Amino acid sequence: MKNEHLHATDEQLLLHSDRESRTVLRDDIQPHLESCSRCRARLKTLEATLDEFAGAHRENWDGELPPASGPHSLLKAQLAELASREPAMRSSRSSWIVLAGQPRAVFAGAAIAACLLLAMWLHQPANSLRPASASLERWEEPNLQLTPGATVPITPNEVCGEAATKSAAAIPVSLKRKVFELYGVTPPQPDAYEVDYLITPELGGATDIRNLWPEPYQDTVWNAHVKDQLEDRLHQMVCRGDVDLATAQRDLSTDWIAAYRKYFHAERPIADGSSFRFSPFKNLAPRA
Amino acid sequence: MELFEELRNRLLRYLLALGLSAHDGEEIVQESFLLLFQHLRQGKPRQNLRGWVFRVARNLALKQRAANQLQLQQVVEFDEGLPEQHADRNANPEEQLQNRRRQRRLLAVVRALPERDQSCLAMRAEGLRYREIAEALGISLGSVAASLARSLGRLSRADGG
Repeated sequence: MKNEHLHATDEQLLLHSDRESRTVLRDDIQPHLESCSRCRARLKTLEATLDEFAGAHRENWDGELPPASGPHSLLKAQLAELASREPAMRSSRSSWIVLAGQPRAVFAGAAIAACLLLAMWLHQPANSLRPASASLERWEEPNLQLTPGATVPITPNEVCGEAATKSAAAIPVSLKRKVFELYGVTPPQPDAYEVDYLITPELGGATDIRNLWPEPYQDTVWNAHVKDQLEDRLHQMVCRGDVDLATAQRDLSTDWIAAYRKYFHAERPIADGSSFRFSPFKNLAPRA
Repeated sequence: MELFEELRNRLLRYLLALGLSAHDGEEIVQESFLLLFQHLRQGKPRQNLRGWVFRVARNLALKQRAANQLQLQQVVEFDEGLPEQHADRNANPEEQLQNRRRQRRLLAVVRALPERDQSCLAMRAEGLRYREIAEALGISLGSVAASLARSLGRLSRADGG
């Protein structure tokens, strides 16, 4: 501000408040502000309005933020997966990670990052990430760090009324592939696993990687067919009012096998799981 | 992961304000950080990473939003009311009501602004410096200041009735 009789514009005041006025303007406006009460007042008003908006913005959206723990674990797992693929990618000169031609320090940095991430991966708890050679039995239940469950808003009419979902929408192939990769099932084995919803869409489950895991079709006691049976049972109970929707969602996402035992009053599947797929209510245990 | 912890909620609020669902927003946050990982592994510049992440997230969000206008409508409709649990506990009920009305009015004015002006405001609300906003939006520092000045003028006029 060369002329002290002129006032600073709002842009100048804002840049000054963000300590950028020296970068953008030829002169700092600080001397002018010290002598101009009107500009000081204007700056105060601008900052107050910004702060008020910031408060309204955060308050409006904070209630919508899902917990961070699941996404945090998911990102960590995906980074570890990326890091573990490093050698193959280098040799194949993948189009999105081309390290050749970069300075040596970059290679060193990438290698250190890969080692650190791999170390984090290997030090996950026993029930956490598993290597690609995971046996079928291991995924009877999902890794809750990778698959904590996710829901979408759903009305009672959408659960039980005329608008009820008759069949789940197909899971995109690309998403299924991601789920297989996340669980270390590479290459994907769609004949051995069903990429299944932890919380079924009929009960508000989301088509979301956090709600999907590769569940064995067979060769395990607690397989996809048995889980289908539980889902049908829970859906029926929710619509009868025996169980509220939130409880059903929570029970499915926490430990579906425990939920089966709870709702069927049986320690093990009451018949071979595969037999329930097409006649879900024929052999149900009596209601509690 | 430190940057993720610092930015995850900020990014997610910004993406919600752009009209995305929490589900889409979460996906975009994940995707943005995976791209950041690749960016760093390729030895690309490390300056202004916060602005870089917001830029990537915004680009992904705009694509997603264009592909899913229906979802956008649902979120905007949801936004019509402010959650009760966020009321200021120190204010009496009448003050709380007035505050909520005032906040709702502010947010409604902002929703009517062009996307770039909304983004400037939302990123500023999330604590980004102007040079970070400039990086995220691919505009100059002066344009960021001009955008904010324009938006604040609108907000002040709306507030004054």
